[in-house]
Amino acid sequence: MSTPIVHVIDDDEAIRDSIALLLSTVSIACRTYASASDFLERYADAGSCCLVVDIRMPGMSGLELQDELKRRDIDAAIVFITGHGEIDLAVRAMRNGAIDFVQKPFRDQQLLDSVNSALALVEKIAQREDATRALGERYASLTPREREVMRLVAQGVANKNIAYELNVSQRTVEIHRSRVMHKMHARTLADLVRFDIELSKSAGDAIGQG
Amino acid sequence: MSVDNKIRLAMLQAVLRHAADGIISIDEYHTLITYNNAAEHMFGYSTEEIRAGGIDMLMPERDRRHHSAHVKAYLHGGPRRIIGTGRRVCCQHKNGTTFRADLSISEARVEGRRVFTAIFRDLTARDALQAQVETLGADLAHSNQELQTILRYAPIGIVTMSGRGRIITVNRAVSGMTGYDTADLVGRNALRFVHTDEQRQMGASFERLIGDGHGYSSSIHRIRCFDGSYANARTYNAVLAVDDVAQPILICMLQDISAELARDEELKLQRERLAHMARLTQMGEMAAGLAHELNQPLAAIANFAAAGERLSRQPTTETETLVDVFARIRSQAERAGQIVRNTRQLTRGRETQKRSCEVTAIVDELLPLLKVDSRYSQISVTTECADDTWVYADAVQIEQVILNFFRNAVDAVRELAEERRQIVIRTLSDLPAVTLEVEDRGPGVSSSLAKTLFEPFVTDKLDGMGMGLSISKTIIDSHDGDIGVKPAKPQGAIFWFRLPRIDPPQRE
Repeated sequence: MSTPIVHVIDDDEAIRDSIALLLSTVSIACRTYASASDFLERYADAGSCCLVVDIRMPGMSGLELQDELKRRDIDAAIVFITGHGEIDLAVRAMRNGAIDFVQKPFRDQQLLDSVNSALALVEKIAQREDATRALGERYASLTPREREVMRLVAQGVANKNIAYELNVSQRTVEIHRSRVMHKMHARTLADLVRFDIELSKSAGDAIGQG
Repeated sequence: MSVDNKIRLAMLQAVLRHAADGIISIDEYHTLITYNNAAEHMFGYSTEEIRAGGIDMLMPERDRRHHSAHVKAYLHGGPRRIIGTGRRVCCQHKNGTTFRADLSISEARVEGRRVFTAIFRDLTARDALQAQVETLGADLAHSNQELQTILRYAPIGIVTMSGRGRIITVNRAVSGMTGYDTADLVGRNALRFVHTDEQRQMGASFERLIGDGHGYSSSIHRIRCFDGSYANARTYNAVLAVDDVAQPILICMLQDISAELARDEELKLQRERLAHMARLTQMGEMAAGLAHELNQPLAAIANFAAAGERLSRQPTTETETLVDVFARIRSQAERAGQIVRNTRQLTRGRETQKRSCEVTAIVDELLPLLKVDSRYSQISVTTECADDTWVYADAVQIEQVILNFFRNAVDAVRELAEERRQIVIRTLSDLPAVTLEVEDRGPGVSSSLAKTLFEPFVTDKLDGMGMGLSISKTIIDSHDGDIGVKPAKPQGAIFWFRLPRIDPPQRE
């Protein structure tokens, strides 16, 4: 896994630089952008990311950027920076899935905590994405017959009933079952059931469902 | 008849024919000898009619009997009543009307006959003239009385002076204005009652009038009053040159304008107060943006300071890094100070003062503040400014008009989509005028609203007072400029004003 990077987007250079400096003191790497469109242009990697965004900016606003990222199907953990008296904007941002918001001027620890939880979430997403990918690979290594056996076992069908349904001997079913457990890295039946459920919903996976 | 006599006779006949007086002669038997053209014209009778009817016809009925009696008595040795002395008599015209005439009668004895010659001078025209003169005299006396009354009670002070400025008469209004009694003023030099700084000017005006012998001059002067104070008066000086008077008369009319000036001053003050209020209101509207703007450097300072704290606790931190952090903190503190200065400059109530200034320079000075407002509303502002935009104006007031246009533009576009959140401020300079435009991409102004938009209390904003543009119009009017709104392309409104352009001031 690569080192986490925080993307700081603010039209005010001093705010941008001061946040970058603050993050650097706790060894968090970041990149700064003067506008939302600048970020969209330069952020080529479509994976999940952690953002610190000023909610009020000329051109595309912070909220508009949040919508745009959703539209592009990019998982972004966003910490919004708001000014005084902009609670309504902050509430909208939170409803829209933001991690947190900090009100200027803010205490350093408050920002760092928010950024850390955003990073944690991004990491969790990344881990889960990795796990899902690994599971998919393991599943792909099964033979068609083994997949059938796995589905029936996960549904709680007994070995002799599986043998009857597949028209093979009970012994053959036991061999398939042992190979499935081995290939899928499942130690117990419960593991196998869980893998089956995760595989069945593998398509949709986003922040807010974890 | 000798030749001489013939000539005399011809002359006599010519005299008789052309004389203006009526000449009639008869002898003692009432035989008509002469009845000239003038007499014919005067009485209306022809010679034949007189000859037939007798001269009694020429007098009114009531005089005829006396006349006959006098004539009879005289012929019989009675006393002369009229002959040689003459008298004024009443005559009767053929048409029955009577008229007055001077009558003189002479008597001559010619070859044993007594010849009486009467000369009539018609007094009708003279009487009419006399009557006219009498009427005129009465009228004149009346007019004079009227004029005196008018002068006396006129609300304008009227002073008559000799050519040297010595006061001859003053009316009541002068006393009312100055507190001096008439006696204090008459005989003294008028210039002594004018403010010392203005005596020379007033004296020059008198001299010019006397030199020209006619004409009129007007100016404003401070007139010294009895209590030592000064009254502001508009003075109208005229010279009255009378033909048969060697010295011309100066007439000075004084209109007390102290109250008028005080009213003007009060009005000006009120206008300034209103403009200042409007400026404060605009600042109030911009307060949220200003608070936000001020918050930026403060937030940056907090962050830099927090980072500095953390860095100074880390043993690996180099001194240079900390120095850099402090420099950043200082620069942000300066930035905050600049914002406060910009704000204060706009809110202070400066007095109206016109001088040469550049519209583009006013825009430049205002721009930081406008950017604050626009950043807060996430609006992009661009300027397209021309060089050589000199005008004679009160920069503070012009600033206010620009700010007013700008605030309206912000309100027009703040809720719109990003590509319409745009404002352009433009200055244009052509030969007679400098134009400033503020263009937005908002919904625009309907043509019906555009007609009344610059009147007070007209607005299309839900929470607007409708004062901003009317105050802007007052300001631009007082600068001899034009103000208006026109549609922008492809959409939006352009609010503009135009001021007379002046040449750049000479560098010293």
